[in-house]
Amino acid sequence: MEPGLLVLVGILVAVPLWLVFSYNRFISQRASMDATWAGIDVELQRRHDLVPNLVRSVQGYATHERDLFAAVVEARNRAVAVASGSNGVGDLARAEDALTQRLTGLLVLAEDYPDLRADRVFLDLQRQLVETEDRIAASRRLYNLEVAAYERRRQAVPSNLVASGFGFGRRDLFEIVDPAATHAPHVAIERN
Amino acid sequence: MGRRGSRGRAWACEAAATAAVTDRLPGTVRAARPSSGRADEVGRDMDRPVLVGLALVVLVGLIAWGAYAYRRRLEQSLADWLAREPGLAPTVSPVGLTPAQFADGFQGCPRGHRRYGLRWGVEGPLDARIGGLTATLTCAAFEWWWEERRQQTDSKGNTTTSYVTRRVPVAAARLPAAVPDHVQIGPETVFGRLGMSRSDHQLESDAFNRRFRVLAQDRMLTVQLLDAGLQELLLARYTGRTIELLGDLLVVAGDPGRRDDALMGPLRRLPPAREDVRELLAGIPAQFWRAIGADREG
Repeated sequence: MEPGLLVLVGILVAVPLWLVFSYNRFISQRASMDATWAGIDVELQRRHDLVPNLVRSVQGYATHERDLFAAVVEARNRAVAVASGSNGVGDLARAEDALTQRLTGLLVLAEDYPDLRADRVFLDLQRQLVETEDRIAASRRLYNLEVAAYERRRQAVPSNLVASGFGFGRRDLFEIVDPAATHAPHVAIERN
Repeated sequence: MGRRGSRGRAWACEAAATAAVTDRLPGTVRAARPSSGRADEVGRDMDRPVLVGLALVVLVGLIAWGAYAYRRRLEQSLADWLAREPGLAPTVSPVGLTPAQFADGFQGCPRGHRRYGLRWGVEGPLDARIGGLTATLTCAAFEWWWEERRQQTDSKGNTTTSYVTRRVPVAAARLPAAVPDHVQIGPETVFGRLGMSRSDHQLESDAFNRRFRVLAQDRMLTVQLLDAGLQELLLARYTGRTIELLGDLLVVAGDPGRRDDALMGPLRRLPPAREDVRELLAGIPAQFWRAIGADREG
């Protein structure tokens, strides 16, 4: 067989193989991003569910802080609405940041009430909130890592040809204020 | 020529005189000798192996004595270290593990191709910052050694096998809670650098990804562990070393790059290895400790 023909056959075999590989890799990355995003969604939902209980436990001690409680509940409801709607990642990030800010005010308020700080229900809720926010932070980092890798491939030559040809669109990073860093109490560890 | 002739005559006279004296001694059996010159040659031939043997005995003795003296000095150095740090004691099973358990469980303690083991093991309490607060942990340091096979083939196709002993300082600590995974952070491999290792967890820092390979089942856990601060610390101080978390154990293997000049030999690298465990624990983010429930442990 002619060498030129061999090269041509090689190209005809290699190009479809590369195309399949690249396409499948995009599919895998998209699935991975969706799965990570679902993880964020679950943790955000858990945070939203914790907020009413947290507000109730604080209300019992700081009855005159009605404005703050109302602001927290409003921020929470807004975040729930954005998360359940078809809004973009940016809208969700803004809503979650607003909720984080309100929750910070609520937790700071607890510092002024020693009885509240000793309340086991409040402490348990606070712990659950911080653990949930830890997971949100980790899921967010994972999601952003996946998106960064996907975007690198989507924009790089030659995989950008596959991305544009098969409609693999742009994904936004999920950038929010780290709530865990704001709300985390010190971890008490004693061991000998 | 003349001098050589006179020396030959002197040898002959001496041999003759010796023979005469030997003849006169009671109970002496005189061996038949062909001539006085040949007797001298035979005597010298007999002396040579004896001399070589003696030299060998002396050499082996000197080496053995040197090794013994070196070991005594190392033992004294170890005693000095133990006296310096209260609570520190020698151990043959650091953090309760046998050498076989270290070899089975940790990448930083390789089995090698023939023999392996640990020596100069010490163990004691270590005050460390965990999640922002002080905790006292059990921390051990030892030298891990293993033998690696080397095979060389010469031009005739003959293969020679030899074994090289490798050593690495290791520090191991018992954590306040068990990690629900086996997290391995070690030097990046060639495949990883080429992006051909799918199991290697990639993080935000390209520099970190180039130098370290992160392996674990739970990717979320490694993300919680390796925040920006810890990545920076590992890049600055732990490049080329292996860090593993398995159950409630933290094992750090590799040269700490610093020496304790008050000690000698392999012991010089062990106190810095223990110190590095303290530094590493302080660098692990609080969210990781919360994730594994370390804050709920008594």
